[in-house]
Amino acid sequence: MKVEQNCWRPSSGWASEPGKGLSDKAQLILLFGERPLLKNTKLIQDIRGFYPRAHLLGCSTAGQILGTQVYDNALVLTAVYFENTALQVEKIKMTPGGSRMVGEQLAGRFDKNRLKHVFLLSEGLNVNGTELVKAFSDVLPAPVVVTGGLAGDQDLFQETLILFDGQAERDLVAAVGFYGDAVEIGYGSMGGWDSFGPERLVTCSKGNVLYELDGCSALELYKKYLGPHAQGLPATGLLFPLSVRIENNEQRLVRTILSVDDKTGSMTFAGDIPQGSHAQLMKANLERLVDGASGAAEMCFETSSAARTELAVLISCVGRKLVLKQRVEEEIEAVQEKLGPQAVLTGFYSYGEICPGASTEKCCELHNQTMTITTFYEDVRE
Amino acid sequence: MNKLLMRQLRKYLGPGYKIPLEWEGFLKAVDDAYEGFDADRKLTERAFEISSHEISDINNRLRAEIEERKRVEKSIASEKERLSVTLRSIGDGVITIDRQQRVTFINNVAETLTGWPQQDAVGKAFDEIFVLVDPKTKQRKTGLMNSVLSHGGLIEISLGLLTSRDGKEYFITDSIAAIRDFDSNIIGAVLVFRDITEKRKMEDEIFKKRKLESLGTLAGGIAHDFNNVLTAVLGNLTLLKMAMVSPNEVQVLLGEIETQALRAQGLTQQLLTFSKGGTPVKKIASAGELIRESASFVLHGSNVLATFILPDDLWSVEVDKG
Repeated sequence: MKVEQNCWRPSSGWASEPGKGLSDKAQLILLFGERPLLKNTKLIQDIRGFYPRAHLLGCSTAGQILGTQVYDNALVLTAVYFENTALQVEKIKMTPGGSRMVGEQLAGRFDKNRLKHVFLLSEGLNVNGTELVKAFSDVLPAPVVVTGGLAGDQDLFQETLILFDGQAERDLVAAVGFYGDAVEIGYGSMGGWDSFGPERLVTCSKGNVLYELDGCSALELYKKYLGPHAQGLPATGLLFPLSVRIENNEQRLVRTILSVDDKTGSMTFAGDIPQGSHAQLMKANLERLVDGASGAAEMCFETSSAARTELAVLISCVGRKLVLKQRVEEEIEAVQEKLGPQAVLTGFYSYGEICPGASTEKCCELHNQTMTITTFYEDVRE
Repeated sequence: MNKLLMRQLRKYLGPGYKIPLEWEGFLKAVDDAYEGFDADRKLTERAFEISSHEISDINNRLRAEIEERKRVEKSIASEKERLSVTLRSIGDGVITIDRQQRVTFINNVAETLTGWPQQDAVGKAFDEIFVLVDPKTKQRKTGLMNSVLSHGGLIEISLGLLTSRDGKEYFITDSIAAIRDFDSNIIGAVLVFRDITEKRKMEDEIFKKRKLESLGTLAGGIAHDFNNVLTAVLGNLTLLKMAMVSPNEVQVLLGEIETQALRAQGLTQQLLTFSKGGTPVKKIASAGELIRESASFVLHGSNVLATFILPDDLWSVEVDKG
């Protein structure tokens, strides 16, 4: 397995001469960038020219990760060459039939034989991430783990794009499957947010749309807490994600806002908030967020030999970036410290993360406000 | 620029400081950090303040709920105690069971009648402590609770013979009713039973007493009749002595003596029958003839003349002529 990285910025162009090392070899190019850059057709065509044999897979983001640096207006490129691993790349357009159906159809296209892992990227505004990932879990055999994330759009929540080969599109879901035993893929996900205030009963919701908590408007509650920051909704809603406890289950899921509708008084979240579940507001603690990122990296050691990680794709929630501000790189550094200097880091800030909830689980879930890491190592002896 | 940063610059660079051009980017980052920190602090403080109020409100509501719950619990406990005392003091036996027909409660009277103290009875199978037989057939009655536990309703048993743990027997009457929860589900049954052994004894005594009284009345009547019979016999004998002249007349008088003697025998039989508790010997007889005979017998030898007006079609009667 070989990896090379580059970065294009409007102000300075490519950081280094692109396509020199793996130009004819790379099979997969991961591209994470600011939305306008993904729409830059010439730029994308150039990249296709640099790596003619590679599939291009990427998305718009709320921040791009290259090494331990986080960018806001860059296109981060990571070219990967696998020696003993086969890849299958698929895409599907979101349809009115719903996220679950899309997930089932896309997952059904993969050859289950020797399929090891699926890395999934989805548009980030209209998808019900819970339904999408559940469909993958249902269709794919148990040993296959799915990780990935939802595309972002800075803190604008206007449009998200998925890049598949030559063109960046809206309402797209794309995935790459990794086949064979040579590739070793680890994963880990952790948050680090603290719940506070009273636990509230979800009295009215439908799927991922929340209307009422404890019989009162959920949107009004958020506005009350945000005060003057309420004008910045839905982005400022990321400052108070929801911790959701379903029935008597002790495990909690974190949900963040994707959009709000003042007319209906509703809030749309990245994943389901079932009626009858209990929700509690969360707040950030900077040290704990960084510890959470470190914990996610530690979890990778439980699922793989993470110490020999060659490539790590970090997908972290836009809410973390919004809170960490100038300290955002601290969480990336914490991951690098755990995985070691040999690990090449790329990734992006997202509107949702996909990963099993615990190292002992294979069933993937949609997360919010987490640092989610997928590590790659390929054994070249096979 | 953030006020704190401005003060710091003034303090360390002097009142008329000038920021070098190359510092601007760096100072902007510092300024952003200061501003961000202040904004975060304000947001957090606001959130905590609102949250504290909410929690305080919830706490007050919770406290009120706890007080109300305590009051209700106290009231329920008091009611429960009162109910328990009432049940234990009640004159009837009371046993409650659960759906598995295990005894859950037994009051004092039931303890006495079954011979099972509460501490031994609770948890036992109902049929084990409540042994009931049919007084006539002497057959054991089991599964008394089945119907009520299955279908609800009320079952009343008019008479049964309860055998206690130590072998004593009590005549009882009882009723069984279902116990239901708030959702009307049957959760058990209650048996209320009454010891009627003494009542039955008293009823027997009264019956015997009434019988004796009847016997006395009858005996008085019979004695009166018997006296009449003997009077007639004696009278006829006197007449017989005086009229030892005509053999025909003697025949008539002797016949009369025989008739009266037979009647005396019948009366004696009647008395014997009644005293033995037997039933009268009823035979079909002519009512008219019976009336004539009785009147003639009573008036015989007196100066009273009986006139009989009897319909020809008078029905025969079934009667003990004696």
